[in-house]
Amino acid sequence: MPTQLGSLTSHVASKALRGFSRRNPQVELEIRVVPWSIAWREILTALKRGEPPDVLQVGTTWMGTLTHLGFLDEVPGWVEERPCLAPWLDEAVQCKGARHGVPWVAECSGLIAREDMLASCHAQPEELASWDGFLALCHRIAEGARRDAIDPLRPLPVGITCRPEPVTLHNLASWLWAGGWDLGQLLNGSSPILAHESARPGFEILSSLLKVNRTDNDMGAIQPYRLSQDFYEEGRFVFLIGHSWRIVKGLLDPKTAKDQRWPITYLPIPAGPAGSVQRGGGSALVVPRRSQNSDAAWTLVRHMISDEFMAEWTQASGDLPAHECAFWDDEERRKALAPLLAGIRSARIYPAHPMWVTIESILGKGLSDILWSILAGESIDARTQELARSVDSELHALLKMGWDLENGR
Amino acid sequence: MKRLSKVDLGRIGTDAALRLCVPDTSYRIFQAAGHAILKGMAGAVEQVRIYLKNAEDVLCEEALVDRQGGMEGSDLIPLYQLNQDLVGKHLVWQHTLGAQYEVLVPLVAQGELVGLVALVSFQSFPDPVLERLSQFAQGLVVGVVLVLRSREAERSESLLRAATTTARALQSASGAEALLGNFAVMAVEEMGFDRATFLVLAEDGATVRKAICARAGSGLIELSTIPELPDLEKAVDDHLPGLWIPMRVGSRLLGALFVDNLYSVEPLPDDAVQVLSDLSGQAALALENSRLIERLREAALRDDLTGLYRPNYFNERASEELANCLRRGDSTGLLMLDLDRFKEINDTWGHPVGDQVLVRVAERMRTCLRVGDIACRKGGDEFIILVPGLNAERGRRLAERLLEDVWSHPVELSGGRAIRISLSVGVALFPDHGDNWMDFWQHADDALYQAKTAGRGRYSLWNEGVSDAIVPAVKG
Repeated sequence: MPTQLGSLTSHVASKALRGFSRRNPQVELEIRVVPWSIAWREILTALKRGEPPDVLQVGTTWMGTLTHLGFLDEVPGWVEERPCLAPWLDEAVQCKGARHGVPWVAECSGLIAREDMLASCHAQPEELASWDGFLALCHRIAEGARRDAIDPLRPLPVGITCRPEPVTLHNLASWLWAGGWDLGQLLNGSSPILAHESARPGFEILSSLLKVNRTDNDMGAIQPYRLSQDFYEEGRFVFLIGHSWRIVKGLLDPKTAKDQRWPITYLPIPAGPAGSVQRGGGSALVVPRRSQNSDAAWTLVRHMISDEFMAEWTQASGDLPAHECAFWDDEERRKALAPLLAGIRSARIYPAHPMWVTIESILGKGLSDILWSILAGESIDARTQELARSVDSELHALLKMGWDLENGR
Repeated sequence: MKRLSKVDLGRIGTDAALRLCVPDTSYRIFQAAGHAILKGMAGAVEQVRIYLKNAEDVLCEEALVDRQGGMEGSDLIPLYQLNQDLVGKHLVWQHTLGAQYEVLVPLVAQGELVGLVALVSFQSFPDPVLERLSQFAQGLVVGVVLVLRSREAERSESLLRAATTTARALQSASGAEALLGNFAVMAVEEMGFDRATFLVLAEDGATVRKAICARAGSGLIELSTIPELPDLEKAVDDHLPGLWIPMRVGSRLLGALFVDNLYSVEPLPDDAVQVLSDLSGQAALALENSRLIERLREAALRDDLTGLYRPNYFNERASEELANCLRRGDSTGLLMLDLDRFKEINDTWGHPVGDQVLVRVAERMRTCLRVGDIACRKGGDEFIILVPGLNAERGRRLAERLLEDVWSHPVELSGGRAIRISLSVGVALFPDHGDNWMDFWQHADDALYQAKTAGRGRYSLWNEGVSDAIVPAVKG
């Protein structure tokens, strides 16, 4: 299980699984927590060695590869009883009409904002709704920001990291999409991908955000975990581009709400030329084809999407259930989470390509190179295009090597 | 922090090192070591992270331990991102992280940086404590070096096992195809690559004849669209984890193996690539031998003059086919062919021309038959063909086609003369015309006799009479 709970995951999961253990005393449970950043490698290594755990939590974007390689069991009909929150959650776990995983938790990217600062900046809803308005607001915030030290009362506008990692793509894909970049379509052809003209508006807004933030190399290289700490604990920024689990956790857990240094809220990514697009994601639960205990494994999966489990899990983790369930029946809660729920329902996901993990790694590094070139003051016209073309040539070389995708006989 | 001034830091390092001296090399022992450090530091430290340096000069976090528990590490710090006094002079370095203080303690063995411990606290570490942290590092590094050596030994052992298994699989393979298949599967299953793709070259050393691909989780597949053979001197894009390994015998290129981790995005392990490169030489040699044996075997099965099968092999295949035919519940045809007036050709034009005629007939037979039909030179000017799935109607059509095709492709002689060739053909069907090999054979032979006696240049389906003449009589 890779989760944002870190070292607490095992403890929380064990607690939430007590009911399952009571009802299934013959099943011995061992939980292994793996950080997200190494989970893919660990999971694939275990599957390749033929020694995987009986149940795995996997990122929805990994499903394409895992099903293509034939590692996953088909989901028996009795496991899921309720529909998913959004069609993309179903699509993410299906391959050629067969269902190979059960959507477990769902999320969508957005802006996490400090409400106290929004109020003190007199931020208007229309400012937060569009790129131009948002940029103007960021300029206003930047004028009063303190730069020589972290000052929660005079924060910087936005926390953006430019590291050469997939997380950079995860955080910034929505901005590129809102600018009109349609990755899914572009990946299918031999035409430019990142160098496609539709990516340019996205680069321009990101460039403007880096400039208004006066992001330097130190800030660009900051680790995502540290960036979150800077936002949540130190108050270094007004906005963080990321996910909403802290907001959900704060809503459900009075202790977390009390510990929060300032109120935070979720906002959709401001609309660009192609509207406002949130990136959808989440986790699915899967059972490897070579599991020796598949019946017990699927029984566990069924339990992990039950109201009983999700009530505890969501409260402790802030992860939102991917299915319609008792959690969403609570009117007051549904109202409070309405923007998030709407974001999840309308979210766009990455293309379900069997080589997606490699593609996202190339795009993550490429995007980072482009952002660093912007930090270095290089021109979008020349240098960004050159870097984007280099990313494209790497992507096309990769796609050309996907000879086993639809080719076997 | 005051308490830390009185603690024996060297002892904490040694205690933690002892947690690493166990028969396990996973992150769990680093978690145990981290807990020992956290406990030993008497509440002054909030978080402990332990890193080991890899071959690419990146510090990889093994474990993270805090007051809430522990987990496998995931952080990666390239050395160039670190304070250079720490990297170059191996000095302990303290800096702030927001409201916290972080101390990075280098772990050094024989003058080389092998790892790092990060200690996070809400209080600043005073200089005397920072100075004594080198004692802590000296204790801990003993355990770290032991783990590094054990991991190296594990890796070597696993590679050796993989190499042995692969070499054994190469020896046990019968046939070139099986050999390549085994090699590809071993590269995936034993060496842990995501995919292994073989491009097998034709005799010209340039055209890709066949491509097979083994991939993790899905076994071996033959690729229907054959990839292009790239310039093997040029590496794959540096950023992609894939490598072409040419398979040569001497200077001849027999094929190429492409191993990659394009699904997992893991870097290719240098040692496994080296083992595979070494084994690919053996595989190329085994492939060459296997092809040679196949060629010899093929030569032993075929008639020297016409290239059609010899009777012994034909009989073996025929009995297999009859058994298959009974299992399938359909029919099989046997065609017996005899050249009309072949003796006259030999007597008139000489045996070399007679041989040309036989070669021409064999060539035309191959043109008229499908893959899976078995043609044989029985002896002299007699031929037999076994045609799986043949029924009466198709039998008639095939016999007619053979007669017409052979007739319309005369053997050209010097001086503008040509010898047109006429055949007689007898056809029998299994099991309708005989449910055992002897009867089946005899009835095809009887049908041939009927065609011959009816005037040649025609065919006969057993028990159904003789056709009209399909071709005119033999003309000089």
